[in-house]
Amino acid sequence: MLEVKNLRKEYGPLTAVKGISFSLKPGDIFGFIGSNGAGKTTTIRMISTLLEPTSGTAVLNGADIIANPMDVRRMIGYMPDFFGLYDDVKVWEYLDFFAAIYRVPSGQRHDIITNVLELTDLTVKKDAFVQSLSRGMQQRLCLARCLVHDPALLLLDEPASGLDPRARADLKELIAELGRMGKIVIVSSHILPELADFCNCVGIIERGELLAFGTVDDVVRGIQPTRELEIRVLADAPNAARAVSAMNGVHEVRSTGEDTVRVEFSGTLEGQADIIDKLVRDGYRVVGLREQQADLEDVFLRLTTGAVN
Amino acid sequence: MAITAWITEFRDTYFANATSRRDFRVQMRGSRSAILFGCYLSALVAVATIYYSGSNIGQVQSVVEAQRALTEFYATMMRVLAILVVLITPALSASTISAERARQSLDLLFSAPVSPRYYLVGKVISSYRYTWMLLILALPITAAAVVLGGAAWADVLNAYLLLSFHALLFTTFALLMSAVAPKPVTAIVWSYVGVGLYVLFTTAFGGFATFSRGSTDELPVISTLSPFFVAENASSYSLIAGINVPNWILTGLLVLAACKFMLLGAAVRLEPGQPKHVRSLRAHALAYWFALALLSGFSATSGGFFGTTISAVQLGAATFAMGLVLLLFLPGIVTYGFDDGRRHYPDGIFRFKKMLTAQPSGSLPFVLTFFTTSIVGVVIGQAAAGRAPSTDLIPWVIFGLGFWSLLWALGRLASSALLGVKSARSVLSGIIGTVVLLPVGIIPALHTALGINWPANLWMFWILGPIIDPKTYGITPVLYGGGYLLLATFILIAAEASLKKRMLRVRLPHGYSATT
Repeated sequence: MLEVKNLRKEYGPLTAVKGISFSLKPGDIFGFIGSNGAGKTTTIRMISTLLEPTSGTAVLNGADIIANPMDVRRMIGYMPDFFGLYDDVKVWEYLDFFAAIYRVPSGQRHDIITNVLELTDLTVKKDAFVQSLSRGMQQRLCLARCLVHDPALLLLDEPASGLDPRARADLKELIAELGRMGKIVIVSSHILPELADFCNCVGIIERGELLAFGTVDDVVRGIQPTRELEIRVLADAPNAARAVSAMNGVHEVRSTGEDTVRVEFSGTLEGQADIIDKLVRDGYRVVGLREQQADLEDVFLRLTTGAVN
Repeated sequence: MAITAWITEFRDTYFANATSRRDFRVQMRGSRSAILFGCYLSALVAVATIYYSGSNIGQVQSVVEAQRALTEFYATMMRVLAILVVLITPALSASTISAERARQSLDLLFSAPVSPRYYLVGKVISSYRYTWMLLILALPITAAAVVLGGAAWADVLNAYLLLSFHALLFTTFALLMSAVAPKPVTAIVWSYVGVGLYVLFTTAFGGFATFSRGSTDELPVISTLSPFFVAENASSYSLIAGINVPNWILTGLLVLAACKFMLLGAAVRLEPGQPKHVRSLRAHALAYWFALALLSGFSATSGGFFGTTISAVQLGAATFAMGLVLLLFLPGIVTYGFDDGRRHYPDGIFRFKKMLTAQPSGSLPFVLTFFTTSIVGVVIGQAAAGRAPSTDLIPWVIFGLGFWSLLWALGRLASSALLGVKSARSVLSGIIGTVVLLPVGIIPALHTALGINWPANLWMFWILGPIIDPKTYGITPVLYGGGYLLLATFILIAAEASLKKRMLRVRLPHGYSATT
């Protein structure tokens, strides 16, 4: 369980993070969304104990980031947006080094390294030098490094940046798998559709303020309570629009041309079925219905102004 | 339970350190090391052979002359090793931390349960082990001097110990520079400059002590602080409380204390947000300084450690002069500003309980305690040696209080006027460099070059005049000290006025209230 409590960071007169709070439970994959300079990395670095908060704190499974930073570090795996790998070190040596750093008993290290290499699909590169790996492989190696001590919380800062579509898809699948393994995963990213795919929880941050937090559906519904139904009929769309305008959940109806009715609707799925039913019963020949709902990108664009600190 | 945890931590840090293992693996990888060691040994053998053939040791008929030539051969080989230590150790460790910072791999380490101590000890071990391998590789060549009769095994052992102490000192210093410097190149340059100055200073004083000693082995410990006289001074000792204490032991203690201190400094730099590192650093500084002052007071009264007995007035001046080492750290201690984290905000002028923190209100208490510690140490040392504390020290106490308060006030003014900690540090460093250090070289040079007396009068206005010019002993330090205190008060008033004016225009951080 991760509880972030009023976390705040100031650099002189500049406030990078303005007291944000949220909590996550095991298995949650939290997408942290914000423009460059919004405060994502600062928040992640504070949770990872690399940066001292000006005020507020975060508690991971009972360990406070300020009072017990070492206990927190034992439970987290942090992958920064930019990171360097050591030259002249082989992939298994790199993982062995971090396993030793995390005080993994030497007798267990071989099996753990084999497992994380398998999980990150790097087994064939076990004896390769890290500097010889491609960017995508280095990203996966860094993720493997985060996993050698079986952390409860993974902090992944822009893990997909610089990856090709294939590597991005692999990484997405891997993160989803980690969520299924019961880990809390915090992922910051600019690629919003990707986050919506596998995150069960998102937060939108701008100028250090958490503007929205919750499940993807909740966040979308929060910013846009209605969805638009586009109903296609064979003819007489204006009359069809009038026919449904008084129904429950219908906020606004308009027709486009002779064959399209657009309905702003906030009702249930049953209510949606009732609209179709009414149109059919009234003799309109319905040929299709398409539901248009705002996505994360719409929410992000509507909530944020693009301003940075 | 706590003991078991401590033992585990100790074992992991010193005997199973992952950082040192990884570095060792990289150092030994491929043929690089073999080639380097080969070249190194070839160069040593070449130097030894050339020196041996050039010295005509084989042709010398007199046993005494042959013995002298072999001793000289041994001393030369040890000097060659000293040169290697001076040249190689900074290069091995100066770029380690700064390169990791530039490579952005430090965050990966410090998001893991790695303490700065664990990391720094690992780095020291990996660099120091490499230097030791080079020293051990040279052992057969120095052993030749023993076989031929130029030195005894005990001398070689002591000399190696001394050289390894120096290697440790330089390694740690270079690591400190590596932690402080923004770039690897800067770290390397700073390391060589620092090591160069140290070697210059200790060799000048150590050389004087070594070659003016006559036939005795009793030497001031500074003679073994230079890596270039390890062959001559390996068996030297200091007389402390009637006991002949080998200088290699004293050197070892001094070096270990200095290394611990420098590693604490590096830890502060690596984890700037952790107050425990600052607390530890300052507490160690006070403890070491007290021990050194105690030893100085005792030794200056009984002879021995520094090789001579001096008067109370000279001791006061010497104690004050020793404390000038604080000048190097003063800009970092007394300045604050708004371009960094919360700890640099002004929180008052004088709070004794903040003395061991990085809070601005603790800077003056720390500086004055540091100075007072040295005076108390000297007095207790004198008392232990059987001399009653002299009232002659009192003028020096007043002088010191005024001197350090003045520099603190200048730092306070720079911080208040500039509001940026980096700018304030630069300005105070500039002031210290100009006012305190530059005249050391410039005024005597002018005095000699121009051959006139006016520069000598300038000394009187110089902040350190009373130390340099013996004519100003007596009541003059009191006048200077009082003047400095008065000046410090005016500067402080100006600083606080400037600060208050500026604080009105600055939005204070959340939950912060300035109590200036």
